[in-house]
Amino acid sequence: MTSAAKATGLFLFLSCSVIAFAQSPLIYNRAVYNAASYMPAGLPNGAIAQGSIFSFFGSNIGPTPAATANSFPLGTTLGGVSVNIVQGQKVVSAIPLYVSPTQINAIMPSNAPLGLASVQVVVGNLRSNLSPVRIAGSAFGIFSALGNGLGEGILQNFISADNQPINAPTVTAQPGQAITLWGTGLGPVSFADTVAPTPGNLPVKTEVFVGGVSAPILYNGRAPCCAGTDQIVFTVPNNAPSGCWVPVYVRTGGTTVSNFVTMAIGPQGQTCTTDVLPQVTSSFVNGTRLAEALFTRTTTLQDIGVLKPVEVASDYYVAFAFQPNVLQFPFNPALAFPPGGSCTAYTLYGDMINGFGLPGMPPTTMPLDFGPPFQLTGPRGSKTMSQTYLLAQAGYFGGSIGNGVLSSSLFLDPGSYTLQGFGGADIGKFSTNFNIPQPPTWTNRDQLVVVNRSQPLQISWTGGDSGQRVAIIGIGEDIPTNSSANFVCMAPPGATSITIPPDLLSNMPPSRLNALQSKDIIYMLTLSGTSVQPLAASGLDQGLTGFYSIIGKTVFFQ
Amino acid sequence: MTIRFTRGMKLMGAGIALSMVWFVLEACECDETKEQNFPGFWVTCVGNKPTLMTYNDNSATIVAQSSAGNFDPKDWDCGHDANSPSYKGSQSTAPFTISTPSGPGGPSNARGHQAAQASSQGVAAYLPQVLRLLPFIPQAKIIGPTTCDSTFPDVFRTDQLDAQVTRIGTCPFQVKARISVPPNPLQVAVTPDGTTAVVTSFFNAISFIDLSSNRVTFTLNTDSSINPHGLAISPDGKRAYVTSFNTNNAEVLVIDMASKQILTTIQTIAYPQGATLTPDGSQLWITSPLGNVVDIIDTLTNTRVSGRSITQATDVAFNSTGTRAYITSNPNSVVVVDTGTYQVIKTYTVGQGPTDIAMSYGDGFLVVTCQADGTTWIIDLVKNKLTSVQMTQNPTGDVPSGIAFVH
Repeated sequence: MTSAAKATGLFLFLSCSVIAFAQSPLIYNRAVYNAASYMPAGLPNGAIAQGSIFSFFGSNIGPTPAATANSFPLGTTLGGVSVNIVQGQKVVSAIPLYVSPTQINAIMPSNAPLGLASVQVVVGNLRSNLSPVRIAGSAFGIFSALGNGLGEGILQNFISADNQPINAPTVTAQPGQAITLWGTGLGPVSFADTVAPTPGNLPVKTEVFVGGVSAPILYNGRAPCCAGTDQIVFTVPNNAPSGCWVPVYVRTGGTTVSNFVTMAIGPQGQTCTTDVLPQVTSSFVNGTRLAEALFTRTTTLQDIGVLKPVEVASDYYVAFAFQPNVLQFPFNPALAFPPGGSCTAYTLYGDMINGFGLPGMPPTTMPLDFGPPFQLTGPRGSKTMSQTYLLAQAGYFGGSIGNGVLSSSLFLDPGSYTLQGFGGADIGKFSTNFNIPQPPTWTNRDQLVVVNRSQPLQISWTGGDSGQRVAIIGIGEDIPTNSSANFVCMAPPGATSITIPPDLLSNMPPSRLNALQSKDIIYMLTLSGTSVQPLAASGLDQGLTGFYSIIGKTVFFQ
Repeated sequence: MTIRFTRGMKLMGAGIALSMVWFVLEACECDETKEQNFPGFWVTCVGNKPTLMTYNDNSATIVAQSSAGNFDPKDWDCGHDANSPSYKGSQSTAPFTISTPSGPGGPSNARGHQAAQASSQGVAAYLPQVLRLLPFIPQAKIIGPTTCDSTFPDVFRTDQLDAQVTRIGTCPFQVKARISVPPNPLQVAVTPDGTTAVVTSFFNAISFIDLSSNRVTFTLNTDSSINPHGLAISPDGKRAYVTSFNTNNAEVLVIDMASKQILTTIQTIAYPQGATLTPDGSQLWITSPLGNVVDIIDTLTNTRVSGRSITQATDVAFNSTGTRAYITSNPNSVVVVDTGTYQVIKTYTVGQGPTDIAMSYGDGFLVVTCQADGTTWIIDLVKNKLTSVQMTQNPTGDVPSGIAFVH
């Protein structure tokens, strides 16, 4: 390239830079989050705490290349970018830590005004729009290994001062072991947010729960290394459950509940196990070849926002085979069930029922080829599982809607079944028998209308079969703010009831008076014990059948 | 003219809508191969065949294994790695990312962004679909109510020339009341609690009607330079927003519903006409057919967020979650805006002179009235199909205008 060409290129580069810089900064709508939890602002605890790190997104809100604050004292301007927090006539400066054209991470100053306020970016002499933010004294978020506020938390197992590995399914903790949890949002500090934090416990009441068991707290305050970043050091309770994905959350001020992350508890240094479908967990963690053929009957009573209560039943199937990649932090919200007797929770910006899955759910590993569609034979004859959906055999067998809307075409009645596979490039032929039992009865379902989020919620059932596992799943969606939350509670083996603690309900969005603006439902999901049978075929390390009875009820969350 | 239904009608219709629409399996007959430049496409190997993939919402979906648009399976080789194809040309010129799904969501959706990051780390997940799609409901025909009762809603209509608002029962369909208001009434809206109707009159007045007595209980007379036109009431019923269809005094009046007084005014584009709030009430979108702009206002601070240049924009409808805005634009378009990024993402072509637009419950259908050619258009957002109906014009030559759904 000639000098002239280089000069021309430089000129063009500068021209583009000027043009890019001159474009007005714009903060996107609903784009301000706790940097650790990513909890949607529309949920009860979706506020930003004074003194915490928050992230927001937009266009032209920072320079190219991005700039990072690397040394103390921090400033209120970084890379020519400053961030204002505006409430009426009061304006305070946030402390930017990372600025880029599309994302900014900053510390909400400890003296920021509480309540509804606005965030504004100033890039050079250009001001962005004002974007709403809710500021609270405390709203804690736990950092997670996947960086999205769920899954394995950033929790360090304390072995020695110079040996504190991050907890993971292959790096388990033991009861009694000290753990350092990383997060942001404990609350304001008395010293400047711009300097290296002074160690010391913060005054906010801080509690950590591991598998639902309160853990002794050793320290709760800023991390000395890092402005806006909190450390909570706790001890794994002796009666905490073991498992690969034991739920962990933080409650501050007695009522404000963080996001839920997980930690692995078990024999030190060995891979964990789970008490629900351990063969699936093993395959998921160790990357062995797994196949599942699952069948569901969902029966949901919809009696809120409808003219007449109506019961809707549907039979579905899904069959797949894959070999997961071996990951340091394997997590899938639908595989990582909490241990029996414990609960976890998730939040999402989006529609958790119909629109969006949780992060980690979408498939990325391509399926193994098991040949032509399977055939299922049972009391109502034979059906070919010919539909494909999302790279699996997945489809609809039949259904019914009460009140004479749709006559029954249900297929998965109780009885004995035979599932046949005909073999493909990766998986060989097989034939396996399994049983679909009479489903359990959710005894207090029809009485459940209003769920008080501040009170324990008891769910009871009878019947089913031996070895069944019951999970209670609640989903709440606030449609106008496009925010969703859910909880998952796994009953202990053999239980006939479970109590959902208020902490699990606290981030469910309260139902709106207009029933059309909320979607709130509770399911009792039962994996039949006798339906789980080996699916033995060449090319597989693990294979199983399973039948889920899913009973649902619409509710109000109050 | 804008027609509003009362809360009773909404609740009545809700039953059917909720039971039929709420729990429907996702379905999309979109021809996604036409959107070649969407960054969510990538190529991977399925059964050792090069396969074009994309996301349907947050779920990976096969688009094609045969030629489709820029995708030609002959350009890719699955012989070396069953999961990661190699591009036979230059990697830098490959039309699609190779086996690295960027995922849905975009920068405004941090969790979506994070989800894509997480999924790209190879977490396999087929089982969750069982849970994610619950509860299921089979598709079924809607059985509608056939017997009139007191729960059926009323419709309110402004009569510009007669300076009155007409309250019409819908079952049976008959006039219940005619209520006199100041000259040239243009828009009417009912508060969320169903107790009060607010009416804008172009000639300097805003009326408040007590719906229990069908009487005007208060008239807010404005300055002569203010010409009330567009109208929106906040979801909590505490604020009304009224546009002044004027160029010298182009503003939005923010009215306190309790005191019925003007709290403040917001300067906006010339000749502001339509006023539509997002479902959560956090933003007010103002249309100006003469200004060729849609102005977006943050209702917390009453400041301007952004604006979009849209030709002769007349009306705005939002989906229920407020993530999409649908704007009628002359001469014959509906412009779709991503309300996260404020970018135009799609345009539908409809009839001539679209004036009003409304979204059905469940976000399945948009209805658009087109005054210039007398058509009403239905946009099926699930199937991405448009159909139109030529409305029968009555003897006075009226054309379709104003839409309301039975919710």
